[in-house]
Amino acid sequence: MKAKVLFFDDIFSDLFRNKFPADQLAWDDNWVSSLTEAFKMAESSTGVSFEIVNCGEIDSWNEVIDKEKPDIILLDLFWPEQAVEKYGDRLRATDVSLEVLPKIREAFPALPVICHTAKPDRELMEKAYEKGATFFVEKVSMSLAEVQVPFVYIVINLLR
Amino acid sequence: MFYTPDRANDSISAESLIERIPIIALGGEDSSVDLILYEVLELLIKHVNADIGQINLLPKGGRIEKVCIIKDGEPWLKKEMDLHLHKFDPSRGFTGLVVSTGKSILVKDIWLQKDTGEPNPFLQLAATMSKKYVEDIKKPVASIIILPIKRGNEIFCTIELSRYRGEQVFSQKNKEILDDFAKRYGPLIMNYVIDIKNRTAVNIAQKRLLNMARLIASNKPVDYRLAVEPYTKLSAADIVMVFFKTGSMYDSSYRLLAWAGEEVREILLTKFFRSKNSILRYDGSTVFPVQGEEMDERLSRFCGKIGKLDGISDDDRQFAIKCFSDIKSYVVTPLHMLGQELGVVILGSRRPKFWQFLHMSPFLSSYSSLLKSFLLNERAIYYLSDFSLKIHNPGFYCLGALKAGIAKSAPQLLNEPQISEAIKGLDKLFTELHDQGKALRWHDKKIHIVNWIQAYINPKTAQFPQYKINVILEDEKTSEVTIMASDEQLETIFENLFSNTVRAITARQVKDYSIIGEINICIKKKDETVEINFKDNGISYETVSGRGSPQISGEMQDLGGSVKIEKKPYQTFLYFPCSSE
Repeated sequence: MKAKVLFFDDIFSDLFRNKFPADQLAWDDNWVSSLTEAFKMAESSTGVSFEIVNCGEIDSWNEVIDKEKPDIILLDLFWPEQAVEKYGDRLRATDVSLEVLPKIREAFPALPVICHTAKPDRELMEKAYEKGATFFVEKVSMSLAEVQVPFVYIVINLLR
Repeated sequence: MFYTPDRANDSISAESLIERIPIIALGGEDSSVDLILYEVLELLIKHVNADIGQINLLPKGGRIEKVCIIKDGEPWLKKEMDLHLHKFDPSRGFTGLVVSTGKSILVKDIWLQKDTGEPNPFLQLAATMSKKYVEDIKKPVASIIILPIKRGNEIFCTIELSRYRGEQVFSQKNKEILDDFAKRYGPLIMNYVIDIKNRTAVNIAQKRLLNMARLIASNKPVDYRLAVEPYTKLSAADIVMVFFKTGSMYDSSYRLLAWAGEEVREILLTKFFRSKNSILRYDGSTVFPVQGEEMDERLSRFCGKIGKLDGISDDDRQFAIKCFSDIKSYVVTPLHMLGQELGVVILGSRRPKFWQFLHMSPFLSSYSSLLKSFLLNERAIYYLSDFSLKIHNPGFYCLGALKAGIAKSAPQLLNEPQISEAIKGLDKLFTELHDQGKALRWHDKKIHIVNWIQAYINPKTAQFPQYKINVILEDEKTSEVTIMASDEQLETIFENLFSNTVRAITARQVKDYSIIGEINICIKKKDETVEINFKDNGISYETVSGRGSPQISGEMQDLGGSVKIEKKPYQTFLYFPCSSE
């Protein structure tokens, strides 16, 4: 079985990558590598072959989904730099994704969307579900594939 | 001109005028001031058979302006003429003589060069005056009388009366009658006028502060154009330049608000590095308030820097440089507080050595102090959120990488209490700091909208006892409806609607005093939406700032609702989504 995962995260955006120095981006890249590795690790045991598409252009969600035709979306909820650009207010970092989420849900009702962020709170979880999240999970910041693997099984569950 | 010599010899009785002033003042707006000044001037003009009359206000720390000019029985000065801003200089001309001696003056011909060889102060000044003003108000005139109106020893107002060339020149008797009026009634009437003007200005400042407080409480950016407005309305400055610090603690970026007369611009100055003894520093190298003059080292430095700075449009650059270049004298007051370099206010004048007028009045000073506190709050929220964001990323990712690195390279270390407890401690600390960073964050809440409107209306009923304000519910169940919002959002929406309503009703009452203002607020629930209909019995009026409607629409959009305006009759419909149970 093959599955395409479209991963929307601010760390892939030019806005984010142009703002921070390379030594800081390394922590984010390490984490992404650990997650990608986890998907690969799970292939042999699950029989599912994953293709991961990384995207930081959340405003182009419609075109990207149309082009990539993913089986599932991972949506990071925290987009501070985009919030500065959009609202002039970094405090509205989660509004960027929460504004897009219902639009995805409306345009692609059957497409599973997993929302995640580091250290979330109840209010954010409630809002994400209210706006159409299929699953909500805390982002585990430890950049170790073994630790990220359980996340892959949640993805498989939603793909069934 | 119809000249009545008998009447011109009587003393002036202002009793009936003084009785009417409190009634005229009821409106408490600029229009009331105009009406009182018009009546005062008309009384004097009629009494001494003048052709033209003028009233000038010159309070220290307030607006120096020509407030009323009547020519041939008609008001001549119009709002858009902007004469008070850079043409009227009370320290020069014949008015300058009155101000310096404290005595009234009678000049038989203002255009005549004196035989004594002393220069004619009006002729010295005439070339710098507005051409229209000279053409209409000065050219036809020969004799004038200028009266000082005093508060103690301070002259805070002058009244000037003129007769056309060809008419009989003013007599010493005319001057004595006017002096008598000035002494008996002048301070009383003009104090009243200044009091109403101050009340209007206080209302403006209070609204700006309230607006700013709401924006900060909603985690929204401060509207800096509104924040500088009181400096333009409550000071003698005709050029106001305010620097607001922006960006992170380590940035050297400023938002420059430049105001010159009718135009205000907001210009972002990125990488605007401060000089050693810059007024933008808060290191004790500068003693405030700073006074300066035309193109001194400081102003030249600002112009030089802005001239070379990247990231500003040529148009903005030229505007800012022109503002600085036009300043002949200025006073700088800091907005710095608690070690934070928040910015400075530069009150500038096109008049040289105008410092004594440019220093802030006690009220403007209080406004500035409150503005400082608000700016500090805004900065504190910014820094705190920055703190939280940095803990979020790279903080957690960094810690995650550290844990992963140990787990991969030396997993046994994780079993050692020294290491595992230290990592746990760091994780706990980061989580705590992350949450604290989110502490000053805006939250909506479930609000019983009918109760909220009633609580909002109650103080309004006390404030406007002359209005009938009705809250009408479709049925009893409507009172139970809740919406998700914050107090500040609802205040912004209803405060805007209410201000518009007061203007609409006042516009109608100016035409017909017998009208009683009525406001009807009808609330009903339609499916999952609350509809609020806001209607009054006013008429259309001149738009004040044009910011109200976009603010209402913006807030309604943020609340997931919408707004609709119907013109005939004028009414506003607000649609709020009901909150889920």
